Amino acid sequence: MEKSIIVAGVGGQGVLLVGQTLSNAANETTDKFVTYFPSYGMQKRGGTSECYVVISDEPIGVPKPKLVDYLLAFNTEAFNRFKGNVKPGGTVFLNAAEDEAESVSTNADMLVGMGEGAATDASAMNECAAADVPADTEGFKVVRVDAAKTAFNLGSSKALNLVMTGALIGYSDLMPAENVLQTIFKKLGAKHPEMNEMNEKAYSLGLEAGRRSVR
Amino acid sequence: MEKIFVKGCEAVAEAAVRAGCRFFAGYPITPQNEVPEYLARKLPQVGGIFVQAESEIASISMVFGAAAGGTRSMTSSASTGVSLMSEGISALAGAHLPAVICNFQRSGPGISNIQPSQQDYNQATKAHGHGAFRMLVLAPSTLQEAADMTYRAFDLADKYLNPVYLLLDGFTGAMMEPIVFPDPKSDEWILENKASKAGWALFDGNLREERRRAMGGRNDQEPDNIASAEMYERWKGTEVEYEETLTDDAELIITAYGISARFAGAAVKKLREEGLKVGLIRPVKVYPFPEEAFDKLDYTRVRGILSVEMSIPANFAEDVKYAACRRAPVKTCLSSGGNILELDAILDAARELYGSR
Repeated sequence: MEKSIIVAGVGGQGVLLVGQTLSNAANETTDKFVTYFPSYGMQKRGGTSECYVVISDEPIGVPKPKLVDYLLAFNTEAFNRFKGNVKPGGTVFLNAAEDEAESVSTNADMLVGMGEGAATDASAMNECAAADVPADTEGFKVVRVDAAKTAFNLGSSKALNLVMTGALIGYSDLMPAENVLQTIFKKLGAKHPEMNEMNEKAYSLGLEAGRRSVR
Repeated sequence: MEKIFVKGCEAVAEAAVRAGCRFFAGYPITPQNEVPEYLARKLPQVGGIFVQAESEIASISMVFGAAAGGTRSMTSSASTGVSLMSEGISALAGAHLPAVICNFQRSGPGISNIQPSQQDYNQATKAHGHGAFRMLVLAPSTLQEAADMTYRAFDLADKYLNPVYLLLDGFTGAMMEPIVFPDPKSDEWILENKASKAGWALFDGNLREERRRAMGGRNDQEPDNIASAEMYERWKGTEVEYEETLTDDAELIITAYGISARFAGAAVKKLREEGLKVGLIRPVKVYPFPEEAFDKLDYTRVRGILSVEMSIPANFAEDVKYAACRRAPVKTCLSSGGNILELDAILDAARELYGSR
């Protein structure tokens, strides 16, 4: 079994960190093969940023596959850039920040009709809304995660990436949720132990959102 | 053994330290900046010296100096930076000094962009500088191999008193994979290694006559060139290194080196699942080129050879054509300019060639 993931957004959103966290967790807590390949332009903050993670039972031939099982899109631009790279039957996790809701709707017909509930339900501080939209012609499923707002409500917009990570792990059977959390503590907590609590919260809210989206 | 999840650049840098490298000079260039970054931190901790030089020319010259002093030395750069080192690499070969040079290839020609490529093959295997010298050129395909080959490169450099070239690419440098590192050489071993070079190295400012001639040019160059040429010829018997996968019954051969061989290996696996008899020849060293791997093929069965590389125009394919010697058609599957090969493109090219007879 081989599973592949693209994480995409802009520099500064912690895109590469998510890829590294997933890869590290897979390496440290499973006996699977894993590769991580980052791709970024010359800009650090604000430039496009994406990475590829492949987790497999066998040695990995292509660390940068054309089609992946999961796409974590941190913004609409990333979604539009990579929606053509999702396998039929694959899943997209889209950070649907409020200010982006409209552009998302206009850019992707499949998102029309998902209702405004997802965004408004999330107004509660400790809740991260997620709504999945039936796949249309593109042949994949979209799970809309209110990650930006959830992270903002928690006190740091930076935690957006952990909400997204949680959603992926909660939704999929890639790895046990606890394994990824331990890696987050180990890698992120090493530099900033004071952030552990918030990181765990962001990850957990994403996890719940992801789990709720499994139908 | 613990598998450590590292970047390709870090795998090379750490393996160099473990191999006893105690001098590094380099000048920043993407996509290999993590090599100097890592060594800037690590080398001082183990009693080594790291220098961020003012240029590539200065870097390779400093490596020359350190190697002449008997210290295991390395530099690293990417394509356009390696071009600037050409004169110094030639000087190392001319003076018979052991050193390791890493090239994390990026797109070319010119400055081009920072994305991965394999466009420096001819430069690496045939013309690293003026003067018709040769180097062993190691081309790792995985990060484990990158670490193992870096470690071995220092032994090969010492053994042949010649620079050794690691031909990598920006993809291998940037990607991460779990690896097991070779054991570090002890401080005692490193001291003994240095002492073993007393026959030629310049210790304590003692400019031995023989060495001084090597570095200052010489009038009687030809005997030295003949001896070097004989060494390069001997390599064709002792240093050829390649990997064959499912070639025994293969009707189509895919051949590739480095990162492309990874993709090619995945293609072979997929095509076998489709029932096509496809095998892989992967040169592990690209100099000396493994011509014997192509001589061993049964050309009554092989319909064609597909040469895969991230270079347009093709470089590696020229050696493949030479080795295949018109016994089978050689086609190419290529990408360049920073574009990564796509598995589908290899599969399509292979299927077409497979059905072409």
